[in-house]
Amino acid sequence: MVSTGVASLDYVLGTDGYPDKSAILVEGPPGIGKEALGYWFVRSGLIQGEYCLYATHRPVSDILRDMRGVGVSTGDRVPEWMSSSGSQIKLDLRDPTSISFNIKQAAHNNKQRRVRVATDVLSPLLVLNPVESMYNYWSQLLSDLKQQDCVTLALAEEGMHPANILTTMEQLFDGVVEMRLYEEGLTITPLFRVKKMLGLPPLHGYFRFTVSSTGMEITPYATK
Amino acid sequence: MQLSDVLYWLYTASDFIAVVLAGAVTFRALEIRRVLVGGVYRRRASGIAALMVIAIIAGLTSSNTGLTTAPFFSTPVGSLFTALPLLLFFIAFYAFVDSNVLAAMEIDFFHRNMLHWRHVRAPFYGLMLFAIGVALALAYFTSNNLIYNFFTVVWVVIVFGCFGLVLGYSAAALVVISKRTPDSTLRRFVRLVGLGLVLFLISSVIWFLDVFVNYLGDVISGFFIIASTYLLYRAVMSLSPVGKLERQEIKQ
Repeated sequence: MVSTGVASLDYVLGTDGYPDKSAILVEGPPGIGKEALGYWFVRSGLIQGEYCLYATHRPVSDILRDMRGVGVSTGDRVPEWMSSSGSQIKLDLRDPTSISFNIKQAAHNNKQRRVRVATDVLSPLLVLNPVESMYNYWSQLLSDLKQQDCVTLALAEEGMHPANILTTMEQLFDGVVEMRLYEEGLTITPLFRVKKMLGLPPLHGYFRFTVSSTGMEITPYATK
Repeated sequence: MQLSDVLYWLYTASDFIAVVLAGAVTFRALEIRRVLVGGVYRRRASGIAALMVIAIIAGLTSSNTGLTTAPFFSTPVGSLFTALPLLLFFIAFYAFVDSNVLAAMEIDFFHRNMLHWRHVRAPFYGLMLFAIGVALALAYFTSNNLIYNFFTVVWVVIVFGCFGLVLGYSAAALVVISKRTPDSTLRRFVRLVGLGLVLFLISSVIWFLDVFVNYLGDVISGFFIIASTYLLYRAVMSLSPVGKLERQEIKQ
């Protein structure tokens, strides 16, 4: 098992983390805190001495600022960056082939240890390219990464795509977690749900989550 | 009761409704801000909350609320206190639009400079400050109506011209962003803010043109203000889709 980096989420999954050699999709509206799951996932890998790659369409400086905002500190250990600016490996959204090649190459060069890949490029690539070709693209990329000891965490912006496209993409992943906002009277509550996870029976029920500068916490949610 | 009395009450009622609505927007914006994690979207919610607080102050200090009937407010210094919130609202609205455009350019996959925004934003701030300076000077010198003459009208037109130019360009920038940005949440948000801004501009023009006639223009202007505030309410609600959950679904 591969720790999610969030102790309460490991507990919720009941298996101490994501399955080995799996691909996990985190979906939710923008701003809800999907990235926090990616940051904690990467941090956990760095602490355990694993190879971590963060592929993003945003500048590295933005990601570092965000990480600090949600209380993630990696200390001296930093992931390999693949981004639009501020990294050695450049990420150009207009060239999906090079993105896929660079991710696979980085994973291959570190095949002697466990690899963690976190990425937020799924949604931009889906917006910029035909859905059908992107389905094949991600299918091939995830399958290639699973050939070695690699766990991939991809973030998807719910608002950028019609629901049927996200449902289609969900088929490619071994695990899908959903983050949402729900209205409860006058207050708004952020909720978390595991839609599916390889090796686990369907996990019904919602969890309340909080993301703050002190960390991420997931607790069972029950109505009054 | 004469028609002017009815119009006066409608005018007061529209101000009251707009202030209550602005209060609801502030509450909702702060609630959304509390649960969002992403800085870009949190700042949108904070921006609307701040804008609405200034709008509430401007609404309460407008001439027909009864709060500004004390003799102090008809003195030159006192008149500045009634003019300032509205002028602050203009510049706060522009600052809010500016932050939206910058956020949209940051989110844009290719970080495009929309409508030359990076070049015009600073001069526009200068223009707004100039207009506010002139407006405050006018409020100070014309409070006793002694020097209300042709030149005053010219200056008022210049002030509104400056505001109109800056906010009109801002509205155009929001329209361009709403077409270009790949993020549908931000797209919806800026579209609603842009429409709110357009309605606010229309209301300002109606209010300005009708300043010497009975309260008819004020009433129409008030209803545009209500519509504008409602659009900002919709904008803040669009920041993150909020769903309703069936109790049964949670208990599963």
